[in-house]
Amino acid sequence: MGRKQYKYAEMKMFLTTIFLLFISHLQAIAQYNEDVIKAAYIERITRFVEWPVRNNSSSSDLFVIGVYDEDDFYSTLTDVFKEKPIKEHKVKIILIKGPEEINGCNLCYISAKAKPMIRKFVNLANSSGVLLMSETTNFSKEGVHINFYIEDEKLKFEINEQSIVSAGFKVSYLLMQNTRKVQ
Amino acid sequence: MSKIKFYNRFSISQKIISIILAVTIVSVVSVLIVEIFDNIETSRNELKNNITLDAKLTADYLVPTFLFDDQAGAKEILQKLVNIPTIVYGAAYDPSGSLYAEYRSVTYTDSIKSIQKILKSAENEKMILIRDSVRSKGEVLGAVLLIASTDIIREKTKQHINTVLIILVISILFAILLAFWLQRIISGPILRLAAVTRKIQDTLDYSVRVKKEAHDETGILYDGFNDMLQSIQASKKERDLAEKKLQEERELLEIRVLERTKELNTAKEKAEESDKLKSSFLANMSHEIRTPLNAILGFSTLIQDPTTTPAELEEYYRMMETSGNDLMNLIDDILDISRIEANQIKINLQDTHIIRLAEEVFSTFKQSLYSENPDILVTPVFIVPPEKEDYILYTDPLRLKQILLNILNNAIKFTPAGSIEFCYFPNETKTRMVFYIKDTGIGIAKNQQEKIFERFTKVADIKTKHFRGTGLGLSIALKLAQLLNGEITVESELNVGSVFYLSFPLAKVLSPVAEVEKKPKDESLAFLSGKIILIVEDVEYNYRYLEIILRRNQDVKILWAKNGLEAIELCRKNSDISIVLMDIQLPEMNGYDATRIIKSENKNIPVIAQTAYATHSDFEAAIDAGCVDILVKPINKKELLKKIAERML
Repeated sequence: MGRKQYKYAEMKMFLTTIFLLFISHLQAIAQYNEDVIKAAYIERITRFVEWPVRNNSSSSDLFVIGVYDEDDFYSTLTDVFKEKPIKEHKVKIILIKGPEEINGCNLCYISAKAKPMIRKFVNLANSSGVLLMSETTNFSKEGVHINFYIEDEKLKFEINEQSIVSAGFKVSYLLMQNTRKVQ
Repeated sequence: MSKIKFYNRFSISQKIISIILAVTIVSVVSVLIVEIFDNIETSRNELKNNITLDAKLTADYLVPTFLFDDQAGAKEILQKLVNIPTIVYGAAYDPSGSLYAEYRSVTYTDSIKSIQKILKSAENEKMILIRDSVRSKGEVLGAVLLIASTDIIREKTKQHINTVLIILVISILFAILLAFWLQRIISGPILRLAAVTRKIQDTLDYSVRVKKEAHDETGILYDGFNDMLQSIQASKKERDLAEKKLQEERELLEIRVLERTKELNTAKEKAEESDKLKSSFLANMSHEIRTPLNAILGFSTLIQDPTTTPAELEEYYRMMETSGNDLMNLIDDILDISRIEANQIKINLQDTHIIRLAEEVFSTFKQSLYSENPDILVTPVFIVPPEKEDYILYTDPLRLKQILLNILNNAIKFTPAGSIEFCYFPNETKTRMVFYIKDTGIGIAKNQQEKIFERFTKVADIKTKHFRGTGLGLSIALKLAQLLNGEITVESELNVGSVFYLSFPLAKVLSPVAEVEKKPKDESLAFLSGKIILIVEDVEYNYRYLEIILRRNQDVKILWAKNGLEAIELCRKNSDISIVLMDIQLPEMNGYDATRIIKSENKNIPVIAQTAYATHSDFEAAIDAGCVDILVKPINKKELLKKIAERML
């Protein structure tokens, strides 16, 4: 292999690396944008949802969003809601490690990794009045209240009407009209 | 002639109905037009509000689609506008103004493609455009535009107009009925007033009154009309009274005119008759005057004939005297009737013994009867009452004698043969004295009996034509009898005779013992012996006549004065003058003045006036001057001697 070939190979590698880095960066940017949109959607969804009155809820002025196993999304949410309130409450984003920590949240976003504990998450969310959200296929059918999905390259969401109603939430008809419903 | 305005050709009812209808129609139409426009505006506003609400709802529905960028959802929501037919177009715009989603109704989808054309068409067709923003939490997410057709308003308006027209027709029909009913409230009283006016016009009965039924203007009109009727009635009453009075006056006037005409006719007839009578009278007078004058003048001529024998002379003198007396009687009659008619006859009332008066009358009657015709075949009969009582009348004896002699002379005139009865007797109650003169003369026809007392009347009968007389005798008798409160009636039968009854009130009845003292009749001139008589007379013949009469007594002294001054002088020179016969009309000094002076110087000298003036005023003037009696020329010898004997010292 000659120097020229070496240099070419290096160059090629460099360019490939650069390209990969660029692609990676583009993907990261795209993921970030999607997370921002999702964060925005979360805030917009809360406009159409009324939380059930919890007996053991603290009179905290914070709207707590718990994030399970989604660090990037945690960061995005933290950035997005640093100044932006939800339902006129300052938003606090916390990372939770398991279903047990869902109790102090108003809203909990779980990743696909929560699949083994999904029933537990659902049950605790229903009993604790925590709006449970995810972006995992079939999670809606498992009882997650609102689940994001991508369709036609657009972020959409579906609602498990039975689950969300049984959890004591009141969802606006307007929201219900614009979403896909899952039984 | 002023033209009658068009609306004045209709009756009040028609006018009221027209007014009510006009007002109603104008009001209803105005209200309905306003209502229609209001309804259009309301409908438009309502539609606008609905579309606005729809826009708001749509905007609300679109909120999630904008929030979650659900364009399909937005379109799906807009598609639901199909359920609102009035919305022909709906659109959602993102904040940048780009069309986000839209809805078109079928019509608009087919015909119009461009949004600009849609907007322009909407503006042209006055469609309703409503814009609203899509907001969430104060954030403008986009905008929504809805365009609504106003066809529904037009449809509704058409329906509304139809309804309104029906209401209008019903209202007009109702207004007509109401107008017909209500107009009577106003026109009724006026029509009743008009009916009463017509009735009054037909009957002219102003006592009719209209009955007031309301206190409105018609009531005031009725009051005014009734007041006017009352005034007219009062005026009519006054006018009727005046007309009645005028009619009465007219009738009275007509009656008066008729009466006056009748009177005038009567007067004319009388005048004609009077003329006739006067003509007859004048003819009679001429005859009656000329006859004695003829005798007097004729025999006067014969007296102067030397061949006339004394016996003839005596006969001539006698006939001349008779003729003179006839002439004298004629003149007396004329003077008497003149005095009576001039109310100048003097009545000298005094107690008058009937027996003596009747005897004198009968005596005179007999003389007259035989002096006219000594061979007359009429027998005078004097019947006196069997009682020896004397009766006294309070009357003028001379005039009573004149009355009786007039009737007796009348009887002589119309009784060629038979008898003439003169009788007197009191009535049963002895309150009136009745004389009657009954003759068996030619009698008087029934229809002539009233006329015989009219002056200058002589019964125009062939048989009477040869009778002399003025036709004044009975007229004088009747008028004198009336002056003496007496009555004269006549009963007569043609060719049988007549009876004249004279009745006078009786003053008293004297017993038979009271014999009436009879005055000795002395016709000799012995009483003149040794007396001095002054005759004041300026006409020699008259003086000579008196002197001749008085010279029959050779012992009387006669003095003659030719005027008043001479008479005074002679009286002064001869204070023993027994009596003065004073003429009145004298030269230098008249008889009245001379008498006054003579009487003032010697009041005892009796002065007898002798005058041809025979009126009552002449008599009074003579008495006032101091005369004791009056002799009326021509002076009768007997009367002269009688009065001298009565008055002489």
